[in-house]
Amino acid sequence: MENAIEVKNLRKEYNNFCLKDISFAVPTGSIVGFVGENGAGKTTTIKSMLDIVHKDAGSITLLGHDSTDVAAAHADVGVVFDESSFNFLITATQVGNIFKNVYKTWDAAYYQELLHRFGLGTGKKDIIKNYSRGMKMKLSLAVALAHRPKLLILDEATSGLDPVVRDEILDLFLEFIQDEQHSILFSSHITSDIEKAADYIVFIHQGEIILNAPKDELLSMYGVVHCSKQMLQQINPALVVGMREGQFGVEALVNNRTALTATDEMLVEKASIDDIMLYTIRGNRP
Amino acid sequence: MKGLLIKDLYSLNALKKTYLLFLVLIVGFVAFLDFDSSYVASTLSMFVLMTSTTCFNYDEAYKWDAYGITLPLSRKQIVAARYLLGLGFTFSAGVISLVLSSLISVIKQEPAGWLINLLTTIVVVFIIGLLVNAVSFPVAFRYGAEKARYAMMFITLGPFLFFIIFRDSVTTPLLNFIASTGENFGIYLLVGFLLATLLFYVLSFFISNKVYQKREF
Repeated sequence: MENAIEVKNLRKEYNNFCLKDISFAVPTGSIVGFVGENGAGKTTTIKSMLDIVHKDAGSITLLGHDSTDVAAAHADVGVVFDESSFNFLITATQVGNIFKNVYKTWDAAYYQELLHRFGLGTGKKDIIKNYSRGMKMKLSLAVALAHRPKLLILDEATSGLDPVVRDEILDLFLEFIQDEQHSILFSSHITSDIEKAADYIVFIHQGEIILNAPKDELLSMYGVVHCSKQMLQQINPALVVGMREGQFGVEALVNNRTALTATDEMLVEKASIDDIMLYTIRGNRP
Repeated sequence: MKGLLIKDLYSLNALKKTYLLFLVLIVGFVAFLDFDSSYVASTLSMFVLMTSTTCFNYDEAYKWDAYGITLPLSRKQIVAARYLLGLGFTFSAGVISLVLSSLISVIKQEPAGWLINLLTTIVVVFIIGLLVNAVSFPVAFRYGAEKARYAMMFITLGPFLFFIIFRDSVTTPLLNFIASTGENFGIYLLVGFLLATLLFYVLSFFISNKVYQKREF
């Protein structure tokens, strides 16, 4: 299977928002970072993939299964949302007992191993209510992994977590992806996480995919130029994605920094995913 | 589907102390005060109604609904699990009532005929429990737990108020008619109601399944 996820011309309309015929894929064996500001359409896209909301048009394929075969596809998918979905009054062991009876491939020993690794108590008094936010997310991740899925779909799973926990979780993603048949779609607005873990970046803005490329290609091509306004006008406009005027000149995002030669009057730096997002969304066209 | 039932049972298990306390209070009232033992059955039915809505409330509070759809289960299985739970709890309440009330009746040496009286009450309570679930479940699956609570109140209080308001024109003539037809007619009527309720419960499942297929979270 070439792609773990294939989204083609997906459309979902609400009164005040619309996913506009978006298309992208998650290649098998890769981590795709799904980025965009709050309300850009990341969660709606993921919910459409998982059949939590019904698409208006287009097609979605998960691990080779289309929308008519949702339950079969979900057997090999692990999902983590931004919040724990388990009753706070039960324990991690009880959570394991629930999912042991949901997934045919549930690996109880691996689940226990993950709980141990994450430092999650399994005693009768260790109810989820007493867990910190990070612990709740780790529990969700343990559940998502313990049935040995081929695909992980994570919607803002690292939001609101401290850098140490986020790093721990990202390491686990990298471990999961060691198997070439495994894939991850990872939505986040924390671009540093995406930058660390993702192989591909899909950037959504106002319900449209505006960028879809390998991360390394983006980071090697895009650049931020610092210069005067007059100097910016000498740059090929096709290269300039967006610009911002400051007190001491302008800063602009260019989509091919290798086409520019840095001078004393023009500083060219590597762009981060944050820069790409910021200038694309908020930058002005020259 | 078994996993979903276990999930609901674990959730309710967290409230077991409250439930046990409630049960002890009911049994205490009936055993030591001048109450008919069949009161256990009618009061326990309130439990059943509460447990069903409690499960819907928990699912909403913990955003389980959206998560549940990501599991390798069809929406039909999700709906079926809740209907099975409703049926199981109603049945269990009947069995618990039968055992406890029988014990109390024997200990209190209630007058002959207590068993018939008790069984009738249990069947009536079973019918009411299923009816309330059959009406409130589709509402819960379509609009959520809060609106289902109103539906439950409506189906519980509605007939009660109807028979109070129309006591002279409907209730009394109806009861007189049943009394005049002899014992057997009452039994046939009860069995007929029970079968009709079970059919309605099945019909309600199909309605819930249909509305839940379209539900978005």
